[in-house]
This record gives sequence, C-alpha cells and structure tokens, in this order.
Amino acid sequence: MKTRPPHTSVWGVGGLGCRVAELLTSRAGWSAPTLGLDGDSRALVCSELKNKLQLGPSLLDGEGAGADPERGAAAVRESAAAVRRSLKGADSLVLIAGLAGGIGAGAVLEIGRLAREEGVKPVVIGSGAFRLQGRAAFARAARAAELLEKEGFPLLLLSPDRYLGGAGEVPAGESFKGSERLLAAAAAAVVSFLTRSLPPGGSVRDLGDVFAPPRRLAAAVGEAEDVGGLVHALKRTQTMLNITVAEAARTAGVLLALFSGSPVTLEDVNEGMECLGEAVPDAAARLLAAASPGPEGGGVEIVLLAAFTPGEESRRPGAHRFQRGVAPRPAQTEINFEVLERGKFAGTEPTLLEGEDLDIPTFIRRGESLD
Amino acid sequence: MEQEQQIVVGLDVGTTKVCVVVAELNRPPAPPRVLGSGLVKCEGLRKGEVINIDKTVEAVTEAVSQAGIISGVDISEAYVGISGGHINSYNNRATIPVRHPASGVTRQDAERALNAARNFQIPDSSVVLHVIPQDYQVDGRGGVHDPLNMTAQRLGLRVHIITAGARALQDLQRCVKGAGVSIRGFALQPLAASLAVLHEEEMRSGVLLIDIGGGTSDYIVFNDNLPGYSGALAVGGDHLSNDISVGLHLLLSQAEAVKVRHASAALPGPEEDKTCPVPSGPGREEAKVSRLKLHKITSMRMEETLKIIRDQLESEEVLRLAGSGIVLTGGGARLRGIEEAARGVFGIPARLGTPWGLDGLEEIADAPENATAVGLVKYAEIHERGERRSRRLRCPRPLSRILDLLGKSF
Repeated sequence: MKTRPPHTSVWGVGGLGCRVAELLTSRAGWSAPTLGLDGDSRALVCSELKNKLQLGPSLLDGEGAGADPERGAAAVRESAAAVRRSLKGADSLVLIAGLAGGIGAGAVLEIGRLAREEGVKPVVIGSGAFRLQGRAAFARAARAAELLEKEGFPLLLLSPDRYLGGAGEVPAGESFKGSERLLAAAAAAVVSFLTRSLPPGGSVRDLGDVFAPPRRLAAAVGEAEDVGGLVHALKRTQTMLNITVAEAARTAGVLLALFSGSPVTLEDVNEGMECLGEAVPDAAARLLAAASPGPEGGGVEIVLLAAFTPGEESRRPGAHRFQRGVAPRPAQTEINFEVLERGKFAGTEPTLLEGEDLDIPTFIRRGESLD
Repeated sequence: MEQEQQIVVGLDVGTTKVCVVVAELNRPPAPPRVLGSGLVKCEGLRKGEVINIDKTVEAVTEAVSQAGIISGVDISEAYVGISGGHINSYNNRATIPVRHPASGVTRQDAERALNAARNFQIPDSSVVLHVIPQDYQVDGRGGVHDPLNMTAQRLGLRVHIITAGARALQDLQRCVKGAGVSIRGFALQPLAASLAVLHEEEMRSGVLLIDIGGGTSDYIVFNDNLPGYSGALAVGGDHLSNDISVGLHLLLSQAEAVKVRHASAALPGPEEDKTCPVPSGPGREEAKVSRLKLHKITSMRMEETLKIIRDQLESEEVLRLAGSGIVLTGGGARLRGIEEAARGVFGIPARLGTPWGLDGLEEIADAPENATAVGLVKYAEIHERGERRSRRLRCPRPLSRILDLLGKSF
C-alpha cells in the first residue's frame, strides 16, 4: 500500500496569527503550506505572506472585527466556501491566533468546526491576553478557550505572562516581537511533531491529550552551538521555562523539537530526552519532534513546550466544569463488500462523489431492475 | 499595402476525439473565416485526462496534419482547450484601502485589488488557468465594472479563479508539443464552447452552459456578460456507453453504436419499436436489445448527471443567476430527449447549442461536438486582438487585458 506523509497546513488567524505565520515562513527549512486569514485588508496587504485569505469582506468591509468575537465568527461563515477550499489536501491544521482579539477569538472556533467537517484535524495554538489589554480581553480569551475546550479541540494556550516573564527590562516592542517568535517556535515544534519522520506517528490526539486545558503551558527556546552542546543547552532551556519546582512535579508532558542544520543522531536525541526526563515525573508524556531541518551550518535550535496540571490554588474559576473533549468513536457499521460492475473503468481511479463511485452504472447503484 | 494574413488555430484534445479548426482573422466586425479542420478519434485520454501519451500524440499529429492539408496552413501553434476532473474553480473577494481616496481609484489601486483577490491558496498540485474579475465594490457598493477615478476609501473586487491540475496540464502540454505544435494559450473548454454557442443576450441575462463531452461534463454560468461559476464533473458520454455495455452485455463498440443511434434521455413512447438493432462486433452477430432497457439505462445516467450539476450549482447559490435557461452542447448533447430532461431537472428552458459566428463553417456547423474547437478560434480572436490593442496602447498589463477581454469583448 502506498502511503504519503501527513499534510499539515498552518493558518495564522487575525493580526497576531498572521504575524506569527509570517515569522514561520521565514524560518529555514519551513515547507508547510501557510495561510494568513484576517478581516483587516490593510494588514493583509502589508503582510509578506504568500497566501492570504480575507475573511468576511462584505461583513467587515476590509476592517477588523472590533474586538467582537461574534463578528469574527460571522466573517468566517461568510467566507466558509473559501475556507473549505483552502482545507483541501490537509490532514491536520495548526491554527495560530491571539484569543483576545475579535477575529482570533471568534474565527478560530468556526474554522475548527469547518475543518472537522472536511475531515481535517485542527490543533489550536492560542495566545492569551496581555495584561495591558485589560480585563475585557482576558474575558474574551478565557471564553474562547472555554468554547474550544468544550468542543474538544486540542488547544495549546500560552499565557503572555509566561512568555513575557523576565522581559521587564526589555523594550516593549522587543518583548512583543519576542513573544511572537516564541509562538512561532511553538507552532514550528507542533508542525514538526505532526509531520516528523522520526519516529513516525505524531498525532493530533497525542497533543490534545498532553496539552489540553486546564493544563498550564510554558514554552522556551534555547540554542546550542552544535550537537555536542545539546544536553547542556537543553538544561538551560529547561530553566528558561520559568516553572516552579511544584509545577515541575505536576508536569503532564513535554514536547521537544530540535531544529538543526547538521545531522542530529539518535544517540544525541536519547541523551537529550534522558536529561529532560530527570526533571519531570515518570508518568509525564514525552513527545518528540526531533531533528527537523534548521539553519544550514548554524547551531541547534531547541524548542521546549511543557504542560503541567495547575495546582488547586491556581486553577482558574470554572475550569473544572469542562471535561477535555474525547473524540467519539465512529459507530461500527456493516460494510458492503459486494463487487459492483465498473466495466471499462475497472482498475481505474474511481470518480467519487459523496462516497458513491460514479463509474458504476447508475442503475446498478440505484438497485433498479431493467426488466 | 496588403495586410498580413493572421491565422489562428483551435485544438480540442477531447476524451474521444481530437478536433482542430484553422481560421483566418478578418478585420472586425467580419467574423473569422474557417480555412480547414481535422477530426480524429482519440484513445489516449480518460475522463478528460491523458492516460497514454503516445496515442494522444498520434491523434493530435493526425488531426493537425488533416487540418493543415485542407487549409494549406503549416500549423505551428494553437490555442488548446483543457478540461477534466482536475479542474476546480473558486470565487474570491478582497477589499483594499484606496491609496489616495480624494483623487479617486487609480489603475494601480485596481491592480492591487486584483492581486489581493487572486492571492488565494490553492493546492500545491494545481496551477491557475484563468482569473476572471467579476465586479468591484466601491465603499461597499457592488456591481461596479469600471471603478477608475471614482472617489472611494475602499475598493473591493470579486474574482472567479479557475485552476487546473499541474500534472494533467503538463501531460497535455507534452502531447501537443510532441505533435510539433507550440501552445499559444490554454482555455477552459466550457469557456471556449460558450463563445461558440451562446448569444450575447443570453450571457447578459444569465445562462448555464453544459458541455457534455466523452469523459467529462463541464459547466459554466454566465451572468451580466461574465462567467461567474464553472466546474467539471468527470462523467460524460463514455459513462453512457459503459452503462449500456454492462447493462445489455454488449461490446463497448456495439454499446457506442447503440448509444449514438437509439439512446435517449427519456423513456420510450408507446409508438416506438420495442427493440433496437445492435450492429455486429468482433465475435458477435447482429442482435436486438430491448428499447425500454436501453432508455432506462441512459435516462437514469443522464438524469443523475444533470442533478449532480444542479445540486452543485444550488449549493454554490449560482443557479439562480442562469435566468434565461440552459444551453447543452458537446457530443453528449446529441442524446435524444436531453433538452426535455434538462428542463425537467432544472425547471428552466433548455436548448441545444451548436457553433455559430464563423465564416465557412458549413462543414463543422450544426455539430455540438465541435463547439469547443470553434470556441477556441473565437477565444484566439479575442486574445489576439487584445494583445494587439495592448501593444498599441503600450499597456500590456494583465488586468487591462483581462478586463478588456472578458468584460467588454463578450
């Protein structure tokens, strides 16, 4: 049987999502199909992304959603046909969005639903609200996360408190750029995990199981000059995760991605994972997206994502109400193995429409008697 | 000074046949004059896509040679039609801010709107065949065809994008080049066919063209003089023949002959013979088959095909645009009773579309199966005149050409 590698598309949704998507496309070795979706035509025109889709051109008239998730969702519904077409050929979809924005908060859920209808498995990498955005933004992001969680979408929700941690002395502009770079690195790690060739079989469900809310996430990016310095750099990166000892003990899982221009051996990876394993409980899941292409001749970029179960004191109100979504098992049905006559089309690729092979004569498919 | 004779060639590489039409362009408003044509059976394609390069090259070479001998023209380049299940179409829309609102919309703004609207993610395995501007929205007001100099803050544009499978396109390209013919341009087959069989009034009022070929049924909806939606279903006349062969246990050649002579999209009337003669075939003697069975097989297939197209157009909310009715063309449109069947399925008037509008067309007129090849000549005429005009005006920009070609010339 012929197999093909899984196709993962990456969509940046809204202003932040598009900027992160742009950063992704400029990464060395980046090959995943990448699309930017926004309602704001000015932002889209300025974006250097090759593929862009304007959401809700009639409803929004080329402007943003005005921090209104309902308008963000309606914009996707207006552009549903274009969204569906853009999903063609993908097995999984990584959606990146700032969940505090109108487009980000409203559009991601709608896009995720459309993706599921098209048989594409979505993963959402969301950024929460920045403190400076105020309470309303926090509420929007929390609501968007709740809805995503309720519908069982794998969600990696990064809190800016986490990735802006330690940035107090850095100029504000740089902090935001740094946060976008971190989100891009997290997205690259997820895509690398979903499309990895070594070891095979990264699945959306694995990500969902490890990272779904109410787990807290931390992300860090480190660098090693060469593969030899990998373990040391990995330890440094671990400390950059900025999690407490108590949090480390509640680690549910880690995802490690290595982007390297030079070959990383299995031995290197083993050493790295062992080093990582020392810091987390035995039960924690270890997901590996190893040895993806990185800058040629450069060092090794290490991306580490960690998910840990919040302690009672830090659990956000209402989080306990939601069960992590479990994909329903498809009902087992009887499959018809009757051989149908295809005549001259026997042995050719079938012309399929809604599960029917149109090459088979209509009267046979309809079960009509000719007598 | 005598003007240089300008020759154009339309090349339709279909699932069952290759048709070439050679014509000379006349000074407008005189229509192009057909100088010759070639028609050869082809077995190198299935469902509109090349499956055997050698057989296709052979058929194209022979058809080109026939047309060359009849017309006295050494054919070196042609406009080529393309169709198949790999064809997809999309409608996209974009809005951009006008750079200097007070000075009005400029050509650069219109180009930016076009670039924004054509910036559409398509599968890696596809290439864009046509980008057809529809209408502009000036500060949200739609239906504007020429926004230049209008005062506006924002400019929106709707476009219809038609894509083809890259592999299918390359294979077709290889076959045509293999026959010693270079490709002057590709055109979607139903777009070309529409130029051959539709009337301007129909395009303006809204019309659906269904081109039933051997391997595919292509369709295109025109409204307000512009193609607004198109698609291809990989089901055509070959499926009818196959259904007959399977249902009545005939050889494919016998089934084909029975289809051409006796098949219908409607059940037989009481006055018709109960049986139809079947010609002999290799190892088979002449025979007779039940007319009722034959018509049941073909009417079910045709009704299903039309319903699939109807449902697709309804789901895209474009069927309502085809106000003036349906025009059926292509070899499959020769099936008896097809106009009634289309009227029944769509609930709007339907007619058979045969090529018109070229001089010296007698030999290939009245044959809906030649619609695409004739349409390619008309497409070539529009394209060549557009190129000339653009050169003369020193305005070779694709936007002006597309608007000129598709917005006004139709």
